[in-house]
Amino acid sequence: MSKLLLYVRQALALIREDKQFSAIYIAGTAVAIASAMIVALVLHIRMGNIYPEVNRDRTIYVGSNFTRSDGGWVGYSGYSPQAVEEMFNKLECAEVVSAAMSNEYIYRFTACKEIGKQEVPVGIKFTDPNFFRLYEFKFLEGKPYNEENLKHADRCIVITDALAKKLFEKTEGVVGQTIQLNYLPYRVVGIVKEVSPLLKETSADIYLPYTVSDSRAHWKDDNVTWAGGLEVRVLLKKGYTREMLMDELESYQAKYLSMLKSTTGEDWNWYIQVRPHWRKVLNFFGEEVNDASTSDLLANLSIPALFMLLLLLLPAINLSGMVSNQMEARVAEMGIRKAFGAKKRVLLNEVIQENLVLTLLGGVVGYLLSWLFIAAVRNSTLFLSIFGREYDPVNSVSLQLDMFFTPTLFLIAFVCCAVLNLMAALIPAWTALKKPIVESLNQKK
Amino acid sequence: METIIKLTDINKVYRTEEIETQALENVNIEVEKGEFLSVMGPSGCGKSTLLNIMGLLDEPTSGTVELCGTTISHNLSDNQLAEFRNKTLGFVFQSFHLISSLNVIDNVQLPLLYRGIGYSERIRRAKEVIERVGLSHRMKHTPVQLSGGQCQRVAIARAIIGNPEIILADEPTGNLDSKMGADILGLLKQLNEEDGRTIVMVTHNEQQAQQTKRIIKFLDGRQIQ
Repeated sequence: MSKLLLYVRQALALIREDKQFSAIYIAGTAVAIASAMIVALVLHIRMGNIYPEVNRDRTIYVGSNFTRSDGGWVGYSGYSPQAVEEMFNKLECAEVVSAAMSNEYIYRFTACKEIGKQEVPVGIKFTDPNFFRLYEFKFLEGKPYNEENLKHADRCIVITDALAKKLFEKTEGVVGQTIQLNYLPYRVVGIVKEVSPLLKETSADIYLPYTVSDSRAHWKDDNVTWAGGLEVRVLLKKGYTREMLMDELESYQAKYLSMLKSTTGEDWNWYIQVRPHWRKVLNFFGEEVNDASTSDLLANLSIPALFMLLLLLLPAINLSGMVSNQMEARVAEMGIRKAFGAKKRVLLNEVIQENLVLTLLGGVVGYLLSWLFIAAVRNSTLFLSIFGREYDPVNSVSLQLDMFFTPTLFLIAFVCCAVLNLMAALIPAWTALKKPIVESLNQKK
Repeated sequence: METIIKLTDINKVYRTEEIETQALENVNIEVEKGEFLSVMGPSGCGKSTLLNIMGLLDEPTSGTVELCGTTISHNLSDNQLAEFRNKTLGFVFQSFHLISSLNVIDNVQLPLLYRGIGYSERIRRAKEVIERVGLSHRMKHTPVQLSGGQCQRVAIARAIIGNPEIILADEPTGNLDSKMGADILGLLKQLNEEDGRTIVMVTHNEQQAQQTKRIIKFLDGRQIQ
């Protein structure tokens, strides 16, 4: 048995010996860890790799803004299907390119199984077939619509298992059936596992080809043929960077602007917005959206990290007082250990590791508390506003396990516990260990 | 004979803002290897202070301590002193000083733990010494489940597990009844006679002191005999 297990056994014995201290310490730790983990969980839901956005770390959102040199501008903040075909589909660094209509152009929809049956309000997303490759949707039945469907604006749709249950009271055998969407018939071609509404980029009840939209948003501008209403997402090949993508896009930019000048006789500016997923979520310093280097990311992450540290610091001061009292009772024990050859550094390490056992127990409780807290407030206006969503009186927000239980979150929780433990135990332990051996041995319990 | 403990001109003064107490005054003691020495004297005469200084648990105000041929200088770091204590000295205290949250075997293996000895070797040696003090059937018990005599046996097992040259026992029978006290003294005598360990024992008990090889007496911090 290693020393570590001996420390664990001693820690468990100490818990049994002083149950009241242990219970209060675990409760205090749990509250501290829960507070910090709520921040981490919110950040993880916004930034982490969560179904179906499991490649967020490689996903780049590309926006655009064309302006004339006289100040006039084109009323589209995205790209046309032509730009997707002539530029994005040819990018060397792109593994998958997907174009979808921005949510701004989507209005309220209702769906029903048949006209006259109960209507259900639904969220919809106009996409291309690649949307289901870039985001790794799990198809429970059927498959996505294809390029032919997109080209011919076929009224075929992919729906979630949750909507299938609402409309058909089952999820199997729904493919091939028809539903009414705003009183027009659409054929179901696939059923996907529901996406939590907290994932703004991908959550919807119904996905359908963007060409079906009666909005002209995806159409191209008459003069600026690459401007349109599609938001383009690029999944970078592994090993490629955002900067490489930027370089490739800039090479197209120069050619296209020169072509524009020759066709329109005017000078144009084309601002290309290249945002990694994290930049859509974090911008504490009001930086330009294209500033998205690793140092920018770290600088932005430092704000929630400091906030978490503060949330840990305040309870740590209280816990430190408790550890201090407990160490007073263990001064004689420290004296015995020193008499038999324990070095101060070894003892400090020992005390901190024993205390860590207690802190980790509190950490587990705190982790579960943070999950329960988020589950409890998930439908509240305030919570939803963090994710850019609105309160929905009809549909409850679904949560997925990968929002809460991932190696990254476990690591964050462990680091929080370790930091809290150090803040709470280091000073009391060191103070107790500084006492001379004889004084320690003579200390009454 | 080889001198294993040599104290030269040892003085120990405790100072507070108001008062200065001379706990030891010009003490000179030599202990031969394999000797069993008793230190006697009334309470407060400096016996325990002497033992603490011998055991490197406390520093003299002045004077020199030599153990096993090594002069313990003031320059030795805490870590060096800890290492020296771990390898050379074993302690037995009047109030046992066992760790209440550890069971017998874990208490006993403590010195080896701090010597960096592996688990299986620690357990093997712990079992060996626990058997020697007659407590094989109590290995998993915690100190609160043991009698005073048994606790002191555990303390002795802990003192000898590291095979130290010197055992310092501060009133090892002081908290025990006469029968248990006799048992413990018997055990210490056995360690001295069979293993040749050097033992310095502080005691109030004249009868027990008579059973050791030499007695020194203290009064008011001075060696009087």
